[in-house]
Amino acid sequence: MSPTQGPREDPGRQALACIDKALAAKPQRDGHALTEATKFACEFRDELIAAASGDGDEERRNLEHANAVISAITAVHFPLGPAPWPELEGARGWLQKLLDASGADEVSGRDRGA
Amino acid sequence: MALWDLPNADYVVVMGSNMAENHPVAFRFVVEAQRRGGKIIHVDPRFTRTSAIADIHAPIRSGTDIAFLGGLIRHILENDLWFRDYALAYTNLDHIIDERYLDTEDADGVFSGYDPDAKSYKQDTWQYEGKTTPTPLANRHPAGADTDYESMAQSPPPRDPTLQHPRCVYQILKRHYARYTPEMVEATTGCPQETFLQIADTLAKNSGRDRTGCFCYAVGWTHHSVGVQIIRAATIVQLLLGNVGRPGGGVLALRGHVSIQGSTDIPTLYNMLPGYLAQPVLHEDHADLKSYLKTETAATGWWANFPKYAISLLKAWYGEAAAADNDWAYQMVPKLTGDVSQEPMTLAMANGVIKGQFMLGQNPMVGAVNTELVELGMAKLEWLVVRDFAMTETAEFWRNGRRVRNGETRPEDIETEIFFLPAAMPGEKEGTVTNTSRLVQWHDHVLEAPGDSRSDTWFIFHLGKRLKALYADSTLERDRPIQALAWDYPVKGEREEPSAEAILKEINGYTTADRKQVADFKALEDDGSTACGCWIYSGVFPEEGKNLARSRRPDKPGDNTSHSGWAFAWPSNRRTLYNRASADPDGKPWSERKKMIWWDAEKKAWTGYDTPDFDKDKAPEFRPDWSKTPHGMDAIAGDSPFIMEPDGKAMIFAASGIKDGPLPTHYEPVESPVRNELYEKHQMNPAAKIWPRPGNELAETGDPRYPYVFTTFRLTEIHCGGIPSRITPHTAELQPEAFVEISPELAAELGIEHLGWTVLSSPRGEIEVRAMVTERMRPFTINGRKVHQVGMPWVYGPLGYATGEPANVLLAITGDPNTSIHSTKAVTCNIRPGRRGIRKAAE
Repeated sequence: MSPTQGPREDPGRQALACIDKALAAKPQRDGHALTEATKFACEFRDELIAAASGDGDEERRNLEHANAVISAITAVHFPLGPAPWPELEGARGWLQKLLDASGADEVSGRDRGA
Repeated sequence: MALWDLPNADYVVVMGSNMAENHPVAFRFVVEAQRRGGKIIHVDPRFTRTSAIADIHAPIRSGTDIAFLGGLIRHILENDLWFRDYALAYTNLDHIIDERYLDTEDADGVFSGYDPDAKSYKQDTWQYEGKTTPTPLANRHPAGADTDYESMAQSPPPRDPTLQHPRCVYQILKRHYARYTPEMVEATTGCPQETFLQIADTLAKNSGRDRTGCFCYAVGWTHHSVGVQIIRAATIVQLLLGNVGRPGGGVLALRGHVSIQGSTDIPTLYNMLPGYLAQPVLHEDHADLKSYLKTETAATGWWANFPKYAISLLKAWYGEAAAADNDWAYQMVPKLTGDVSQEPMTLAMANGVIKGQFMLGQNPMVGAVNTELVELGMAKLEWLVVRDFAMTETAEFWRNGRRVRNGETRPEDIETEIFFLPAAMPGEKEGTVTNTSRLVQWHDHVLEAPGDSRSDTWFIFHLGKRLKALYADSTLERDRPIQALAWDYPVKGEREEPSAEAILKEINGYTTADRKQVADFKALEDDGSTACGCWIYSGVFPEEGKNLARSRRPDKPGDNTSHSGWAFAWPSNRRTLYNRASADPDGKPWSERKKMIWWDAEKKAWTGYDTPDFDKDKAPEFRPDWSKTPHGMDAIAGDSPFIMEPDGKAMIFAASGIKDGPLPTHYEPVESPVRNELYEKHQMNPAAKIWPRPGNELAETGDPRYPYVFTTFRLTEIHCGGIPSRITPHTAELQPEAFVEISPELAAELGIEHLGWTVLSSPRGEIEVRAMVTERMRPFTINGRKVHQVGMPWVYGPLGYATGEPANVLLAITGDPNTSIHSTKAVTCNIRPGRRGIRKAAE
């Protein structure tokens, strides 16, 4: 899928798939997968913002986690030294939890690295 | 070195700069050096007004500076022209390197420690044998090595003063540059051997006890994928010749207009805190204050004082909220997670990461590389604030951007909300600028800015106040840094302009108990008793009512002094850094002609024409007592001038700190029409930051679609990013339109006429400009093949009276591994006569 124009369906799941693709390529940095992961994760964040009612700890926590996911992806994409792969793996877990909480389906093992 | 020290030079090499045109005020000191008999050398692809004044002009192909400088290093070593008494005593030439070290000459073009997946180096094999060597640079921890800096306090690094040890730096250096023969220099750079040798001999003849020389450079060196290594190569030349820390000697960075030096001292850079302290990095050893101080504090040398500067900074920022029991509010300082410099953040912006942006003192629609990606990124922002004193292309991208002009988008489709705020001009605000000579100079507010125009200080101060008010009632931990920020500056006038002097006083530092100014950074402590906004500036405001940046006492003509009463030069008003090297190891001047600092045995103190950059009363014969595991300056001998290095010796071989190798090595630029003849497997710097993505592709080596070398430059008549001059008729008419300089040979080959239209293209885009057919540009012969180069000023845009397409459309987003600075001086392009087809803007 090309994330070039407009919002797409399930950007969170798409981000998860792109993170898995990037993790599968490790230790090499797959710039394309990381770019796509960033774009989808940002769209997912936009969805959270759009759906937010403006108050509530959970909403804020979810948004903070979404931002952390974006930070982890960009940290691997543009590292200062060695790429922080464990942080990206951790970020994948946060994203999965966010998706689980919002009712999105778990990405199947078969899809990983696709 | 100071600008006014240039006339003391017996040679001045201007390289990576068109100094006469782009630093005309500074260039008068070069002219004075020549008037006094100094030789002026200009090494540059173009024949410019600097070349016209120079005694020797050496043309080199853009991006081959290390081949040229490496040739000088080889020539100096092979012909035994180096200043032995200086270099052997003051550099690490005799230090022995770890036995695991492998040179590029032995490892197919990479140094040991290279990780091809990460495209980065570990530095453990570059260390002095048995040591871990912290770097004087921020982020001192050498990648891949342990943090046992204590090893430097246990004994000096192993050395072989006979220089026979195969792993001593001298022998490594000789082997590394053995292939940089005059023939190789000519074949790679295009500079005729005779010219190269004439320059090498000029440098050697004008160095030694009685003679010195210097290099001046600007962004013609830094804007490469090997920018830092080019500067290092010149530094090696100067250290071998004994030209650092002495009158007329040095490597002078020609900083930009107006306060670029100040903007790195108190940085707008993402990876440094004021005074070249490291910005904490989350994924490294900076998780808490204890580990931050451990990895950033050198055991030996001046940087052992690091905790005093870091904790005093935290006290200045967070005031009462910074206390011993909360690690001086260390956790309130943001931690880096990655490279958030301009280049990768431009890409991140285009990916949607960034929601809003402030643009102060910058016009990236003209000045940033890969203009289309910049514009794409800005169109993804929700809001953009631009502060300037005239409308800029950046603030107008929504209606006048390249993508709009090309019909790729419409203003109504861009949702970015843009706020343009008028900014005060220099005379309309008070404050300081810091120039090339590290000279902090005060300027007064002389008239009120018109209308709603305000100073940047006003804007930042009042923005901070409003943010603090907005978050005042928050109970969230993440908002604590805003609440805790010490932000109480006195204001004056109806506009509530904050006092710039109060800010400078805070930068200088004070005692927290009674808020008395500290005399200088030697008074700073790590126990919370002092606060200091930038330790290197400490001393600029040493007591109430004494603003040394205002001082204007010049020396009389003929005085052999340092103009120490003219403003304030950091650190401690020293005009020449490492000036202990101006005396021999025994403390005597190298010669009467080159006197600067010397040891007064009677007074038991260093004295001379400048503030000594050394412990004032440390005798030349002082030696560390290694039985006592000396730390800090106690580990620095009296004959070791380079006090920021852990053993006081200048690093010819960089055991730590440089991310792409301990020695400069020739690689081709990120794009090149020719192959790297030195290393078949590594065309470009293997550690360069390359971020391929659609719209940011690089041309393959020798791609016939982009056969010419492309470089960019500035113009005297068009200042900074162009807007200040292009909107003013008097200056705009001096350079009324964008142009590309091409040689008569290439023009004839392609059928391009002088002043005729041309289209320039790269994988990133294409632009059209008129041709300036000129002998300023000449083709090069590279390995027997003719290579053409074209050059274009990058300062044009669509606004103002003098207009043209931005050259930076053609450039790619790439980065030097150390600085993340882009490559603007050497990429490839095509050029053809005619005009490009532009789609009509959508109705």
